[in-house]
Amino acid sequence: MNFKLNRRQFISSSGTVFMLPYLESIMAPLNAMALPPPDPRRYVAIYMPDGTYNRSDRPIWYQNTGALNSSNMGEVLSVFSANAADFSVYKNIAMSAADNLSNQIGQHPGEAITFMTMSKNTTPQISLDQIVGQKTGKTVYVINGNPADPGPVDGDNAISYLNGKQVIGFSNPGDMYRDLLGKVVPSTGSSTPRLPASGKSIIDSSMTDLTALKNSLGKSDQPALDQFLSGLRTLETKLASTGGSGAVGVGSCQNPTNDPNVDKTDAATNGSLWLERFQEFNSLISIAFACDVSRSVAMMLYPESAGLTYPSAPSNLRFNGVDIVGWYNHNISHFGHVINSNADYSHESSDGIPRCITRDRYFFSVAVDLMNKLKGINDPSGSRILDNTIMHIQYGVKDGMHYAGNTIAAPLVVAGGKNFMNPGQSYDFSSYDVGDMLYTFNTMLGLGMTNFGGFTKQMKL
Amino acid sequence: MNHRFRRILWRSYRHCPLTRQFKSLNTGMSRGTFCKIKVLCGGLFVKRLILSLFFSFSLVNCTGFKASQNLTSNVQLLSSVQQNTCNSSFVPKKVNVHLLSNDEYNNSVADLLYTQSKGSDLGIFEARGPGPSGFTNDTSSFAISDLTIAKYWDAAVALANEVIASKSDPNGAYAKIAACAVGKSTVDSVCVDSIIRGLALRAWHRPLVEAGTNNEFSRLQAIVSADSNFDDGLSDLIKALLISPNFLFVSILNSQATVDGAVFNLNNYQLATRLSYFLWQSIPDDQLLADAAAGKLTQTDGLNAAITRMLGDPKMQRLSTAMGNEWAHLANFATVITPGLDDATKTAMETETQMMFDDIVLHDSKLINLTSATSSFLNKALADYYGVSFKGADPTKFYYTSLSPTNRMGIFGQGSFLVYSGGSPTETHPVKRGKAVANDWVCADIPPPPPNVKPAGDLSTLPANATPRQVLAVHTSSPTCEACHNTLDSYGLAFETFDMVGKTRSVYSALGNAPIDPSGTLVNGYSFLTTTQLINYISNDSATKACLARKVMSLGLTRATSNFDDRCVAGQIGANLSSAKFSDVVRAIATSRQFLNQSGEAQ
Repeated sequence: MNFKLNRRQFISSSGTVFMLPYLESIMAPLNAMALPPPDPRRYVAIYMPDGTYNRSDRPIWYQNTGALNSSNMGEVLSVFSANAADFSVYKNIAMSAADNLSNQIGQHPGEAITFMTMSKNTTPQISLDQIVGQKTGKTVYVINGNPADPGPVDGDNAISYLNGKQVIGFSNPGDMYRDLLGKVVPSTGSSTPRLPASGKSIIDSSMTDLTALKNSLGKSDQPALDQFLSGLRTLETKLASTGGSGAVGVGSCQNPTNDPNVDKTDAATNGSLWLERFQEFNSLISIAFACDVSRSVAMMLYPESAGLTYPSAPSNLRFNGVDIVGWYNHNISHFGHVINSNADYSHESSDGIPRCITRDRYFFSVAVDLMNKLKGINDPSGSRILDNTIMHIQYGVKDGMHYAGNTIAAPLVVAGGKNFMNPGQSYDFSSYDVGDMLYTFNTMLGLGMTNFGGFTKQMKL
Repeated sequence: MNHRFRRILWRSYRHCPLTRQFKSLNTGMSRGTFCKIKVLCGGLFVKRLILSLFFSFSLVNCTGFKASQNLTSNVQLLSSVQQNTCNSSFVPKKVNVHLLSNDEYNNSVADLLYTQSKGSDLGIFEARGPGPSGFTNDTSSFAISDLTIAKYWDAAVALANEVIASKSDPNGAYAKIAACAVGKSTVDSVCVDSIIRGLALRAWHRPLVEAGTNNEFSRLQAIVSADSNFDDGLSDLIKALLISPNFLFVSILNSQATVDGAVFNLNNYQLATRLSYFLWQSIPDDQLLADAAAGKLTQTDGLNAAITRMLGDPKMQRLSTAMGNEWAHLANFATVITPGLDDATKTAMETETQMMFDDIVLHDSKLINLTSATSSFLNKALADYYGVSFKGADPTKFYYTSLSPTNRMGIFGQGSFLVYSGGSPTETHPVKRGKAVANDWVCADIPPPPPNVKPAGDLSTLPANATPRQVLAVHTSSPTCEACHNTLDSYGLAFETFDMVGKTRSVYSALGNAPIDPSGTLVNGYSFLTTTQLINYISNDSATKACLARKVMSLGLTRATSNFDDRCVAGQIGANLSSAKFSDVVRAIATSRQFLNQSGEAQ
């Protein structure tokens, strides 16, 4: 073999040898630059107090184990039918912590206290939503259907706990709006909202069209035109805050807007705008997530002790046409019949189950609304925020009539998280506990806990 | 007609390929009639031969049908309606601005932008319930929040993006909307202006205002030219058109529109719009806009020709679907709990009812079939379920099948109606059934119960196995409840011979086999002993016929039809329903004074 090197070969090869360590040192930061930071992961807990029906001789609440699709949702979960690929049903999962407490101060308080704490006593220290807040340094938004009784611990009024005390949170979306307003930094970076020429001219044009209509139509048409005008003005503000003429629900962080129609100080006891208020909360949560102000939310839909009655449910949510208007949640959960003043809830009315289903759909429509909003906004990677969010949606009481012998475990739905979970399934988790699920959530959220209330089993979600 | 023959007809209906060509000849003969003729002639005509011979000679000779048959009934019906002797000082009820229903929005953007996407999904629109008319296109059925407009905007943005993204597709939306811009690096102003005018004409169903202080054309021009390249400008143009109230609202502008008591004719473009949203649930097509531009729609012949053409268009399916979904409540049928009813049968029930509407709307059958048909579209499973003989070749397919010997008739014998109106999952609810009959099929306009109403009477005096009739008797003992419940309960109790999943029965098995007594007396004094007697009576009653006409009128007028003139016109149409086909009814409505006029109202 000939090992002779000519001068050109020697210089070129030695250059490579000498440069290799240096190349390696500059490639490391280049690699780091090529990898974007991972999308933040979030946790939303939606707690539905009181119970629902889940006896096997009733219309189907749970589905057969396997893939979900729009045709096998059943009567209650049909409200999710357009989101079949984005949520799962967890069947037969145990709630041992709640069962442990249920005989001490009654069933409902035990369920609420343990929902995100797995506490073994009635004085929980911290709940999962607050743990996320502590680990990430982000705001935890607690939304409460009823702010009554802000005492340290009182059963069914709260699901969020910090330092051994319940966190009451917001009942009025206007309060959350004002809190969020000071924390949001719109992605434009501009302190002065500005509507680009094309976006502004589009809205201006629509307003001119509207003015022409207002001038040409009678008084009975004016309310609709005024509503349209209000909507256009709000849209203009939103577009100005996003700095473009793109979708207002998609993409970058934007300033929140307030809906004065639902900004009510009597939110706790005024049921007339119940659904609208929660939809407004959902809009604000979407902004809080898009702006990375918050990564965890605890939402209590309606404590048993809430003093409000429901407005009429939208017709598409009414099961067999049965409405919930004028009803207290508590009586609906007990299938619509209080037999006497001694609160004997052991009898059903003929409309009891259908009304319970309507109420379930009404509750779930809040979750679906949030799912849709989180599907419409993206993380910096382009991924839908819903796909980086665990939505934990659970009833408090296994069965509204306390048919303990007939319960088939907690009605539980988990949505979102497609980037690290496999939604779209009906799972049979008969060998697991809700505590195992929260421990698994901890892992997925990167919280670093070695157990959750003593539970350590990882679930394949 | 025996059902073997009907079966053959039905199979030919479904695949009749010549509808559009046939309709374009404006013979007045329906698609259904044509297809029947085609079958009778052996179904083997060569398309070219048929077209070259203009049908009439060969077809009329081979069948004995006359193409003028429909025209005759049209003339009778039209003359009675157009004379409109109901009220000599006729003032049509004002039709308020109408925000597009979600289905109308989806159809409109599909036709405007050639998209397969549902705009309501892109913008995540909220579901809208029906208004007083029972339909979601009702001018009273909507409320607009700030969120509503934001959702319309997001849908507009997504749709605009979709159009621009189709640029590389020679058959895509971009090529269809902006043909003169395809392949050009610089788009000249002539091309841009033609795109603005063309797209706006279709979106807003009228030419743009191009002069004065409200120069719409200039505004849209400015929006397009504000962008640095044509595609961004086109995108902004689409957004501007779709977020405009001129697209989202259907409104009728006129110098008399703000004058109390004024009555004015709809102009050609307004008629095109009203017709199109009535029959196609969408924007007018190019031909209809051309008819409007030529002033044809305000001429009787032109209007009739347009109606004939529209009735033959496949877009009529949208009207049929809307009727099925909203009138017969099929949209929510899948969510009804049906213990003991398997999914296949439940789906078949839904199909049965939608096919009935399709038969009427797409194949121009009689509207009265809704309540009086003694045959229905059944597959074997459903025929077995109903207890009727199935003679079809393929058990999975639906054939027009005689319901004899059962007491089923029209919608009242269909599983979808009986299940939807049935009540709770475990027992029938006669009041709900009665309300479904009264509101949807007799137009009795029963008001909702008063607030905080409590059950009348003392139910504790009833025996443990009290029948629904005994329970309801306690209700009607209260003067507060009596007025409405006398009507509702009579209808509802008569249908107790059907259980909550649509099976016939004669006893209440859960009540110790107590016999079911369907007899009753209606508020007008008519007494009946059996369910069949009541169904026969309802089906032939003038109130029912008028109700069917009112329902279709409501869809066309986008409002409830409850005033005297509406009822009167509907009564006239209804009086002819025994012989009138669906096209006759549509023509009578679309040429009625209600449809052709609008009232003014001060601001």
